[in-house]
Amino acid sequence: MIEVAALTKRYGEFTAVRSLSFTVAPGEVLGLVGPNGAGKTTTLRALAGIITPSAGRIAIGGHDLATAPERAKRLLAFIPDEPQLFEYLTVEEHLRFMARLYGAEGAEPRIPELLGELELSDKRGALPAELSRGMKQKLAIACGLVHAPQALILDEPLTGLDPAGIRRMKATITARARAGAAVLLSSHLLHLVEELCTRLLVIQRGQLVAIGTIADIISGRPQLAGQGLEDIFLALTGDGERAP
Amino acid sequence: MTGNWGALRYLLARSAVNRAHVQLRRLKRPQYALAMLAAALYLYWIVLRRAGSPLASGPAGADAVIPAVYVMAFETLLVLSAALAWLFGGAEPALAFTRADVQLLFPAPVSRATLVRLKLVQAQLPILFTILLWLALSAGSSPLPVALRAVSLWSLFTALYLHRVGASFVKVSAAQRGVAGLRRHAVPVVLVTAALAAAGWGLWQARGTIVAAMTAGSAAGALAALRSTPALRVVLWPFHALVAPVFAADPASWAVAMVPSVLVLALCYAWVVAAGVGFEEAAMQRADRLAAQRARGRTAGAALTIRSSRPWFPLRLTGRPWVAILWKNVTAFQRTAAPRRIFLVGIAGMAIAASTMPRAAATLPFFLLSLSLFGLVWSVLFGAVAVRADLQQDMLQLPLLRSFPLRGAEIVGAEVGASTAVLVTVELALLPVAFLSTRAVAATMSRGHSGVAWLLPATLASAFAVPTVTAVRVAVANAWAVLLPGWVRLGPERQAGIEALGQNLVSTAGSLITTLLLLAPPAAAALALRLLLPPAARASAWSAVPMAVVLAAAVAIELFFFVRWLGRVLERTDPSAVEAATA
Repeated sequence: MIEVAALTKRYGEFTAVRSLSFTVAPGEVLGLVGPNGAGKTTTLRALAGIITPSAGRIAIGGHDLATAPERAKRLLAFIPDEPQLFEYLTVEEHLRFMARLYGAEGAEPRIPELLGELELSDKRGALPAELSRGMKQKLAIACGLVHAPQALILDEPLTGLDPAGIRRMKATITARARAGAAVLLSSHLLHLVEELCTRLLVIQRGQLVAIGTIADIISGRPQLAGQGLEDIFLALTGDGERAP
Repeated sequence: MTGNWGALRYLLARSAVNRAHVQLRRLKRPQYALAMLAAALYLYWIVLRRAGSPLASGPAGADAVIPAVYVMAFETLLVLSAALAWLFGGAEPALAFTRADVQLLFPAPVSRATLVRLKLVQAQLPILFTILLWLALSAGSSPLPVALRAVSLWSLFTALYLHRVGASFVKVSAAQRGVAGLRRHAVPVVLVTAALAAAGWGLWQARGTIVAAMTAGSAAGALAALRSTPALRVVLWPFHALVAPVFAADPASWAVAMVPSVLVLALCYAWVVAAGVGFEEAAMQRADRLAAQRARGRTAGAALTIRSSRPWFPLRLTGRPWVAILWKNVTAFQRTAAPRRIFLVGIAGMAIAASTMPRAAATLPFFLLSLSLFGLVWSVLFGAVAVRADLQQDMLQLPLLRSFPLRGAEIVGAEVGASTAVLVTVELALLPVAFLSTRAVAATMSRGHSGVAWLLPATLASAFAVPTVTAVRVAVANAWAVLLPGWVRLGPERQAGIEALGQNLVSTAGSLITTLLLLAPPAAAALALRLLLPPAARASAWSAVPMAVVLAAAVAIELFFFVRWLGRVLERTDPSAVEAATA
């Protein structure tokens, strides 16, 4: 569903992402992890069509993001870590707006369902300024889900959510993957990645360090056997020496 | 306190140095360098040169006398300014604490008095800038050397600032602790109450003289009568003390006048520093509110007040996706249009309408004609930058726009269309008013309709031409937002400072030139059509209608390609470049 081949993004002389290739199949949850400045957000923004790659190819559902961006984006939902909302639209109007924008078929009954699923029913007439940080995050998630995307890109999706919201969000991600969506999830919360993701993609300084299941990654590095994901991550990214 | 103050002095010094470095670094970027140059030239030509630079030319001759009425008016303005500090504004300290101040300084072992001193020092920069402007504007009008005038103005503006802070402290204390809070500030409360009572008493005493002066049409006389009462002379003494050195006739009288001025300043300082009000909570709320407003401006482009009203038209869930953006922007305008701003524009229009109304034709139609023409001219000239329901606010959310499954041209078209639709709706509503009122005015003046044979064709032509020019203005404003985001104001937050002044000058001139360039070929096509018409038709006022239609059609074709091109630019624009340009 998500195919990335030799993705490169340069800003002047600085290369943020260097020849990154991976795929995310339908039903799969791929965890994107890496230290600060590794190029995670650049990668996600390129996949969402927000920034144009300097080189490489991205395809969503077989549609090339460079040559058929509208078709590719229609299958996609990008949920950033900082909710981007229109301050002058109410909660329900946000969902109606996104449904029309993405040409979502049969969205009318899905809107109340989503509001209920994300505990926003009571806030359907509220403006974003009247919502808490967690509520805004839930609204951003609902906006991403209203057109039933086949590819879901999430950047730190649990930021600002309370424990109940975190549990609900994890269930939502799992449910979308079970329904056949390809999910790419970036997070620093390694226990979340370990719990939700079927595979891991570790990047550092814009380059791929490791990809596969935890077992796959360990099999190539016997010295990591028996260690937790945090230790594996620190060892892979070379931050282990700095760890206490 | 010495240790604390040492740390705060370090903060002040390093902040000033770093801010200067940042501003100097920004000058490497062409838009800031050019903006600074434009602002400097503007200030030189409009202010310094016109007034004769005070720094270069020195004081005016000893015969330069300030008319007493100006001094009186100046003092009255000061009184009003001081009164506003008590009457308006919420119960918030008039000290601009930032979130960083709240988080880092409030928990630190720093006394309230020291925090107040810090803010007083930080307030000196805008005060000095104000003094510079005053010196420039009043150059040549005073016999005093520039340095002496600067010192008197500094004493005046600093005392006014301290008074505003002191007044806000009293209000904060009253809001927090009620009567007990007021009791804690008994001295200023008693003084202000006594001043109010004395002012009322003086007004009552002088009522006869004031009425006589007003009847004679002498506002200055009325003011002088009011100030002549003993009670008001006492109330106005502090203001007189502050103003006197500014208008002193020579250095010797300036030195004498400065003594009471400095005394008033010292009293204000002592009042504010000794107030000891628990302003932290109110200051924290104010810092949070301002930060939230700034964040809304940057991330969502929202105005400060948003009303959750029912949208003017509903959005169906199926249909062309770009309609969703059009709907969103029109709804944004509906909910964020500031009633106060609309009211002010209306008042300005009415004032102009009233002032242009001849006494002989003081009729409702003439008033409506002036008002509708003012509205049309305002919409064409300023509508595109006033109604910002387009990329002028949405460029701040470029990452979100770029993630939409739409072509760039569709996004740009919908964005431009939204503001154009709002403005054109207003214009098309004003045109019939202008038409009917012109007919009525003409009928009154010429006792018949024969003199307005041109009116119907002119109105019909305007119905095509005015929206056409408006569409070009909106398209150009959006083009500037896409092509040069660092040059224009994005979102509702107004920028201040010399660079912003320069940027506004450059972008206004640039927009005007671009508009004229875009209108030139369609206008040429319209004129070519006129040349093709038979002489009889050419002489008729009706020839304006096909010309306006050709103009509109040519502009429509032009804008079609312009929007497509702008859409391609939008597709290639890197959001991080916009963030960097607007940072």
